[in-house]
Amino acid sequence: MAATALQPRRAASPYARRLARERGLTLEVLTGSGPNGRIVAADVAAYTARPLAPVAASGPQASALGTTIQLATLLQLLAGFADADTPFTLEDVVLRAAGCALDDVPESHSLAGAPVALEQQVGQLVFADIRGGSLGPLRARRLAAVEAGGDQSEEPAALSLKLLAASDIRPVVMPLKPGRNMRLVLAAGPAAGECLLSFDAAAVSEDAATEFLTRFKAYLELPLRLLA
Amino acid sequence: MAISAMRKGAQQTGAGNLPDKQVLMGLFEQMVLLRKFESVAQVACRKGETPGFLHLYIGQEATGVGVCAHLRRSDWVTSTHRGHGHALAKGADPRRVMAELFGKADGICGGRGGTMHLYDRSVGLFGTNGIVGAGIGHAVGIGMSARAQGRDDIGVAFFGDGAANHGAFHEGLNFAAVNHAPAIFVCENNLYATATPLKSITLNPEIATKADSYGMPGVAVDGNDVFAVWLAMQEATERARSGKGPTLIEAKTYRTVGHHEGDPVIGTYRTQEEVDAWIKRDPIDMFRKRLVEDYGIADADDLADIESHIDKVVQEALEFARNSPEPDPATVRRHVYANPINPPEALKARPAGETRVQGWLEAVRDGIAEEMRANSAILYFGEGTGERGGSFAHTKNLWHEFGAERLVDTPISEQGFTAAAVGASATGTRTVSDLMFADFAFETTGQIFLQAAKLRYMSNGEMSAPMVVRAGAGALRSSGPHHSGMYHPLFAHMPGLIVCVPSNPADAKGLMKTALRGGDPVIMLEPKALFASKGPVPVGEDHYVPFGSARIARSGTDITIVAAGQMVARALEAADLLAAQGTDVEVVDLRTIMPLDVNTIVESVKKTHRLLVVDEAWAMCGMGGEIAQTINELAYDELDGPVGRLHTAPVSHPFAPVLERAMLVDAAKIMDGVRNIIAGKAPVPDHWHTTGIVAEAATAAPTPAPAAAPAPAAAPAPAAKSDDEPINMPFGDLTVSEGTLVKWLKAVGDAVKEGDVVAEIETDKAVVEIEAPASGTLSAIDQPVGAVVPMGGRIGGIRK
Repeated sequence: MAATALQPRRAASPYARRLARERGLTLEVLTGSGPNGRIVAADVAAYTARPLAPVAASGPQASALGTTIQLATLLQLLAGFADADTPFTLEDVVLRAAGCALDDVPESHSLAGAPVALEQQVGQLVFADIRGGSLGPLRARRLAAVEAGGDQSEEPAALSLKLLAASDIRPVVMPLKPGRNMRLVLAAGPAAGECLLSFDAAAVSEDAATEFLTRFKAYLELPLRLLA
Repeated sequence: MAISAMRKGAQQTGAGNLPDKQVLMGLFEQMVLLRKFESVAQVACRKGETPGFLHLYIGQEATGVGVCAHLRRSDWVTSTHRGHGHALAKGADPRRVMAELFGKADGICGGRGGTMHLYDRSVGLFGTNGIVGAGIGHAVGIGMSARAQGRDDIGVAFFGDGAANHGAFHEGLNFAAVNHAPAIFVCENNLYATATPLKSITLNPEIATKADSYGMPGVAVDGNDVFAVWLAMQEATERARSGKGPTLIEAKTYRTVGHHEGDPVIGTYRTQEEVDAWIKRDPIDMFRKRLVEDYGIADADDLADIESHIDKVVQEALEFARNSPEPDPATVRRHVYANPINPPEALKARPAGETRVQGWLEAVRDGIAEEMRANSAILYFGEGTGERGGSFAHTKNLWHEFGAERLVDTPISEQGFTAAAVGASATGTRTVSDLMFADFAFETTGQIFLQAAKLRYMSNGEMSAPMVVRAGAGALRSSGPHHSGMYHPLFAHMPGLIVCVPSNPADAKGLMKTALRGGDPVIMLEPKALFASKGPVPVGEDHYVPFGSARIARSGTDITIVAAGQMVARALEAADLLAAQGTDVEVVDLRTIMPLDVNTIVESVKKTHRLLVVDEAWAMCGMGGEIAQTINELAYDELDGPVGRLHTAPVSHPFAPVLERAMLVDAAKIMDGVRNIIAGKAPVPDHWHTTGIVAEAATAAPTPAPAAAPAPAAAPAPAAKSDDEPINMPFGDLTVSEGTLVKWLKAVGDAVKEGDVVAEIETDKAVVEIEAPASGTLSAIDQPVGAVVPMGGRIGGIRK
């Protein structure tokens, strides 16, 4: 409260506020050129049109890609397995899809075969060689690891994977976990899921991240391939 | 006076000259109805069943009944605050009148009017009225309206002794008399204007004699003697119907109740003895006695039967009123304007067609003439608008085409002829009330605001006054404090009025034509400064401009200027100058102030995100504030800076040209305003007259005026030869800016004497003879025959 009170209110014209809102800009990043520093529409336009700051030569570069994934087929399939008394959960399928998608990224990007960390309530569980076995053994490994407990956050993995326990949410910005260059977050709804891939562009190229996410989405939308 | 004497004789011999028994019994029954109705209303009022307050007619029944017995349904009466009796005597349904007193949905005005505003067009009831004297002029117009439509129906005004000292009485009677209007004025002299004795407020309390002043007959009768009233009215009605003109009837009567319910019967102004004496002269008791004893046409039982029948009628009325539902609050917004507000002609899409350049006055004259040809029931009232053609030549030739019956030259009595215009317009003869200068509207604001504007609403949508109030408005060449005003915000404030402020000849004509087809009273304010302007006007008689449709006068992207009337031209001048500096201005010409086309303003602001309102009227509670708040409400997120407003300075219009220029908004001030708003700062006005705020304009360095001159005419041509004595086109009429040279009476080389007529120039108003300014030889003719010469311009020279 004290900090708010001490900070002078940013004056902005109603139209400038609207433009900033539509462009996802906060008033704090803008410089006002109107009377008493009032932000006007021209200031928003000037900010949007300004040349991008030069890319830092080193250090992490937070980046993100998002997509919507159609889940109807997958959920129907999972329901069928449940009826057949050989249950799989979404978590099993997503873990395998992530592993398979990493394997599919061209070798030059050094992601193939990399382990995947599955985020738990507390800590992470790391799974290597996901493509090697089928879905059944992967599920068994996962249940055993959960049963054993422990935290494998310190073990190497290409990405961490998190399922949000909420539907109808679109993840927009999620921080990377320490030691992970990628983080995949999925908010699954009854028909579709909103997916965010955060990555450090200094460590993973945008092409590789895009390739990974495209493959991951394809696996979940055509899930029969994950059963092989 | 002759008639007055004759009436006294007739009263004495009346018994020998009796009408049918049926008529006499009808008079009795009607008086009983009025009395018993009021008695029931009185009780209901005391019980708190009627909202508001009532003025009862008890004691005065003989007048209303005796007068209305001669009237048809197609005749009209106008009435007073004490008018329940007039409504019933004219034939209004007692049940629905009572329901109206209760403010119920089944009332004759649906609960919108109430006791003092009872209208019923089905029986010719033109309203009881809360304004003293307001109905007098209506009756004049009603009579003239019937005459214009070829009927012998008449208008009858009831009013009290209090109104006889009101301007409405004098103006109304004079206007009626000079027009031989089929109207009758019935003054119910009950001795007190509320509680002020008549003899204490006039040195001539014989009201009937005031008719002499207007050259009409005046008759004083015993207003408590229904038969005496009946006889006087019979003669007055014959006169009115046969075209012999109006009559003033003074009915001396008395109210035996207080001024209004709750007011003491006696009070400080009259004694119990006086009231008792009048009760002995009760009109119903006197007539009952006469029917039985003098005329012998009824016995006590016959009359008792009538009274018990009326008891049932008023009880039924009371029950009807009690059982009627309340009006639905959801209907409160209905019946303010016609729905739709525009006549169908104005809504027809019209492809852009051929135009021709016309002057403002000519274009509007054409529009009026077209409408008057199409509709024989249009009258035009104005001061000097007949044969003379109007002070601005704005009715030139109309009198010649339509005659004195339709182009009515009025006395200088705005209240009188505007009231008549209300009455005529509401009864089928739409009428223009030409006030010459908008400032003069204040002489008749009551008729405009309280009568014309409210009629549709008060009457529950059953009536309206589609009149046109036409006036030259705004500043022009030192017209001064009483001839320069621009008052559109005042009129626009009043629900029920349409307010037009056109900016060019085409819109002026189109709006006038729409006004002469529409359903509501229209205030047509034509900027005098534009009378000498010209512009393209669509050819043909189907050019109508709809109400509530603004025009984009100039398209632009950087800022919107909203203006009307002559400010549109100022805004366009500024826009052109600003364009050269890289600022692209959009100008919205409102055309009508009410209805206000907020959509066009909002759409423009969505494009430019900046707004400056420029208006010739004053700022206080004015257009700038109104439109700025409209944008707050409808387009707040579109504003990239504060809305600005520029109004005429908050002073009376000064005479000296330099002061007048300082007060008005010009292109230079608009340019400053635009620059300020683009810099994010609204020009701060100073019209609040509060301390501590200094207008920016007052402190800013003066800006050099742009080249644009306020006068539309070109500057006078420079003298061709400096040693000549120039012959110039003289400065003349306020609204004339140029003339056409029609004839040279001398040739170059002719000798001329000072004062000789050397040439003739025809302006829109007259042919002007040009005299030689000096003796000598005509040395030059600079302007040939047919040339259009600006005022002050040189046409030739004389070598001395």
